[in-house]
Amino acid sequence: MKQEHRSICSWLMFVSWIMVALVLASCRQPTPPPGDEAEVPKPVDGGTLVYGYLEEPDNLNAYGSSMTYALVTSMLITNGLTTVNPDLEVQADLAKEVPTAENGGISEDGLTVTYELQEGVTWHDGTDFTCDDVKFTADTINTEAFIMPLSKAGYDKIAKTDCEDDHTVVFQLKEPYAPFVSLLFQWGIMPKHVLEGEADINKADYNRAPIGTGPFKFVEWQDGDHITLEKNEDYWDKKQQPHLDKVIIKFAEDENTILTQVKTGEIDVWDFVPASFVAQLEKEDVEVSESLQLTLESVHVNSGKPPLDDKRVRQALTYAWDRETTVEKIYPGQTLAVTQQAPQCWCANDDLEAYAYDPDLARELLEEAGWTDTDDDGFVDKDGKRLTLTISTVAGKKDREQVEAIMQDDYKKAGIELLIKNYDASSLFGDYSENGPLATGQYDLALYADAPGADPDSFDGLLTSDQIPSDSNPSGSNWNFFSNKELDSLVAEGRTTVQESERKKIYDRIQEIVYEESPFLFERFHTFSTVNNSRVHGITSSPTYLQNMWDHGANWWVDAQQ
Amino acid sequence: MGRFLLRRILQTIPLVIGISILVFLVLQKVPGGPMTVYAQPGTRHSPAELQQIRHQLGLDRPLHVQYGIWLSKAARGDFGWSYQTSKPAGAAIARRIPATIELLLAAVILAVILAIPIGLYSAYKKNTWFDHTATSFSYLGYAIPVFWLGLIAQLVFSLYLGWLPTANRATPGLPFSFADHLLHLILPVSVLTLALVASWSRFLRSSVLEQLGQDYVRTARAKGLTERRVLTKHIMRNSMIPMVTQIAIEVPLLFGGTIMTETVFSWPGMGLLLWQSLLRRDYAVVQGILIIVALLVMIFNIIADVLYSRLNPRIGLN
Repeated sequence: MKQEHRSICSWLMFVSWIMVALVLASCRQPTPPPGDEAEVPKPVDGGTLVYGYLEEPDNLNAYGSSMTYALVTSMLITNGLTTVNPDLEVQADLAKEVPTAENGGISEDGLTVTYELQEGVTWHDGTDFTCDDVKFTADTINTEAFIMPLSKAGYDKIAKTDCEDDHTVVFQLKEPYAPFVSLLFQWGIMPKHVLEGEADINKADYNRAPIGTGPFKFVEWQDGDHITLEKNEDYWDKKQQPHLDKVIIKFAEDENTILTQVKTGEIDVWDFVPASFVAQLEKEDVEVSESLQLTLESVHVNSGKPPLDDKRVRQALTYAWDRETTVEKIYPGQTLAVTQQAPQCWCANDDLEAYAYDPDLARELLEEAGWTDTDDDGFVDKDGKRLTLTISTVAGKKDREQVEAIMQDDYKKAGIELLIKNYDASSLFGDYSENGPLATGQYDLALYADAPGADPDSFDGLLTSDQIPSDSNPSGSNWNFFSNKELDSLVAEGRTTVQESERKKIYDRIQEIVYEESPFLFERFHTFSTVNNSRVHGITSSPTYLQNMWDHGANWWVDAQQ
Repeated sequence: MGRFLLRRILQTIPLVIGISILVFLVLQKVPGGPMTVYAQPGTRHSPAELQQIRHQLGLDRPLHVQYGIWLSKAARGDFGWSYQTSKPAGAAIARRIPATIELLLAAVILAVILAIPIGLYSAYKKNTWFDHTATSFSYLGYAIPVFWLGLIAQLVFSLYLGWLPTANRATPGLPFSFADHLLHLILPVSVLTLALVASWSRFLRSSVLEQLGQDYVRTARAKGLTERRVLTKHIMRNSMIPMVTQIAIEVPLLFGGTIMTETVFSWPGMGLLLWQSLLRRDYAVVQGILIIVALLVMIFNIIADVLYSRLNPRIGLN
């Protein structure tokens, strides 16, 4: 029996170790989106490029994954209907042109979206690509049994997909949905002839050995080690023929291991490089490129909770924090955010200027709201209570903790006491049923990033009052508990207005409201860093989640071997 | 012997069931749970969508029903679907086993070869310079975390000296070559071996020291046997008894050590898979590996018992 005790004990040790690892694991955040780069000299054909990933992809059918590395890998093998280029413009891919209201691709009532498809496109197995594949993809997504780790939001607006002919696909929508073209069908279309007979597409072999239409063909996937792709000699896009013979995607779960492999030349390209590593790599014989993402870092203000439900107090928080100096100090070279929309978006409101740092004005606003320093302790108070707020972020994120410390100092000068209470990621982002502080509104200020897509609706749509979390709507996305009637109706209008010039006016106004009401203290847009061996050329980055793979790697090339 | 084995094997059955319940419940109760992947803020699922997914995954059934389904499938070797690797969890685990066995076998053999002479000699030459050096090294081996040692080894041997590949099991894109494979094996095996030698040589040292003072040693010496013979024939044999059981018990637990080694060296084995599965909440794989490790611990415990009685006739199996 003694042996049993020993085995149980040692096994329990092992299990407790696992539990520690699980808790640590929850500190890792999901990886979101992306930028642009300089032009290159004459590309050379041939050669192999080794791309380093910090995570192994889970599923190469992009509609069956939410993991960034899986999504971008599928981009090398497949094509969507459209893609988003480094200038944040939606660009045709398998579609001949991007449907707009102007070219008739989007009907006047916004209920019909028509894509003319490229002709002469073949799948890697030689079968012709036709409208049936697009219809199959749309229908599959909207099948209940198909689990999509990313929301089906948007796709669920499709009432019916029709093929007018082999190269014309027509989507009938349940209601007008303006972001349709800029958000949907950018991931690889699924091949109908391969997947048609599958009982469960979530478990199809295709997910680990995809057949696409893209510039690279899938060759092999060695578990835990690497994925090999080879050039598609018959790539349909004559203007953009791939240069590389092979792309090898190598996984390493440890940042330091990848860093060493980049330095030794075992890995040619690594993206999503953490800022602390960029500085180290700048000294090496490698090139570092940075581009602006749509990912927005900001302090989220719980606008539903006193005293933060008072607009003047929220504005005072913005004026009292020297955001420009903060960004300069902690994130040198990064872009201060003025509104929630990135500067490169057509939707950005250029008339707005960043709130200035003005502690005196902050005090005035607080005074208007009834907060003055009556007891001369340096902090403002009201009804005998000091203005004390708490800020939270993910514990252990050094840069964010430094930002909190700066805010603490700045706010003290304006008479606001700021306390810091950080959580591990899974607690902070815990959902409503787990009593997560953000989801349930049990916080004052929270510093974290949002990663929207290439349409203004994907950020603003989260802010409507019907998205405020409650028992009846536990997964509501409005963690700012912000409520504004005008914004609610503008968001609905923006979603159903198809003329871009009309939409621009709507989103300009939404930005004014958010600016004025201050449910966020905007900090900066994230920078996406890619490091590559100097023999690698032609990699450019989209500010969206398509990242470096927005062009399917067709423009990548390496110097000829000496 | 046969009866002993039968009894021990029968005893493990309730143990395995108990452990499987524990594993199942614990993983359900970890913050987040199996729905974490789908409930992340960025995925923007509506409540109805989440409910639909929960239903598809069978998570809306009572816990005991879920457990029953899982157990009956697991008993038939079906550990569920690993969404992280897009294949059945059993297949995902099976594909990683050879790499881990290769790593472990190489490290254990090397460690035994090194630890025995070091342990024996440091005990025999207690408090000499050799003993002190060996002791300091094994304390270092104990104290230095495997992942740190791994990173330093990569910096020195791959980056600065350029002798060895940094990580992975082979150079991707090249046809299989034994030499290339062997080169990739050197760093991870060395790091793992060092930790094992540190622990086992200390263990053997104290076990030899205990024997050195025994009467039978004095007798052997009095009989006029050479020191060499006393050491190798008498002391060695008796000190190896606890050592062998120690190794047998430790081997399955070495999987813990391989998690770090495999992660640092991108070695595509079970340790790396477990790490990946923990990070990505791939519960099917985590459950599968935990059960397999629990089984291994029990099997190796039985082996240890058998070995113990074989090496030491005074101990009976009953």
